Amino acid sequence: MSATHRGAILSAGILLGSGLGGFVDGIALHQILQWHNMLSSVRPPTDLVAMKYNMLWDGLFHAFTWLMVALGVARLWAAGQRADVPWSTRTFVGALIAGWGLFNVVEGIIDHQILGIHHVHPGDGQLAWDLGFIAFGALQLLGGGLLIRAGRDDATPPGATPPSPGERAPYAAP
Amino acid sequence: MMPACMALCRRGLTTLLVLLALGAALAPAPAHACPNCAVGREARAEFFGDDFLRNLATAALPFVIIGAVCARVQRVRRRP
Repeated sequence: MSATHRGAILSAGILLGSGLGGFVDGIALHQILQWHNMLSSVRPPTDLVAMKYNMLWDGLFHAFTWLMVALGVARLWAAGQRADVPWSTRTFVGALIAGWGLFNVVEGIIDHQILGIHHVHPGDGQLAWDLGFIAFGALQLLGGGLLIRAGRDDATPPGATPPSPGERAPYAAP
Repeated sequence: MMPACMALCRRGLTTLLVLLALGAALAPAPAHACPNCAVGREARAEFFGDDFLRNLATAALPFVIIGAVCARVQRVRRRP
């Protein structure tokens, strides 16, 4: 039996999950709730210039999250062209959740704890908010990991012919 | 008769929507962006100031780490 290339769909899901998770952070916490901005602990947005300065850095942050989503779509498209990639919903959704969790944990540890460029909810209880953010990300990583594990034996969709090694999907471009 | 009436209504609705959009675009706006006003220029000068590269590296770091994790995960295979 052939090896299945799970990495292709896992990396696509993690890239998409981290990018979309970054958008949730940027849209919900930066813009709608306005709890923090990208560099709000370095240059607090207390006047219009500082606000616009932070908006510029928020824009760059969104550019990076957009790039993650674009790369994820490209990886997913490439995975869809291969016959040895198990087209598993559990694996993909698990990777999406794990990717979002990975973003929260990495961003929470680096930006909030190590560099301190911003905090989730500055002011009283700042540390609790920051740690809660990381804990939420860790839970997402755990949940996503469990879902990925549950889908480890998933193969091609029901009715599809199991591919041989190196074979291209029938709908792949020549 | 019925399809003709529906087509007319659809065209009327489209015209109405276009007129509403034009009206909204031409109406005096309560706020506007200022890409070239003094505040905007000052913010951009600060953005591209001495700390630009450091801040850029700071903003990019989490994404670089996640990208590295994905590159590692990309090689995962399962042999039944």
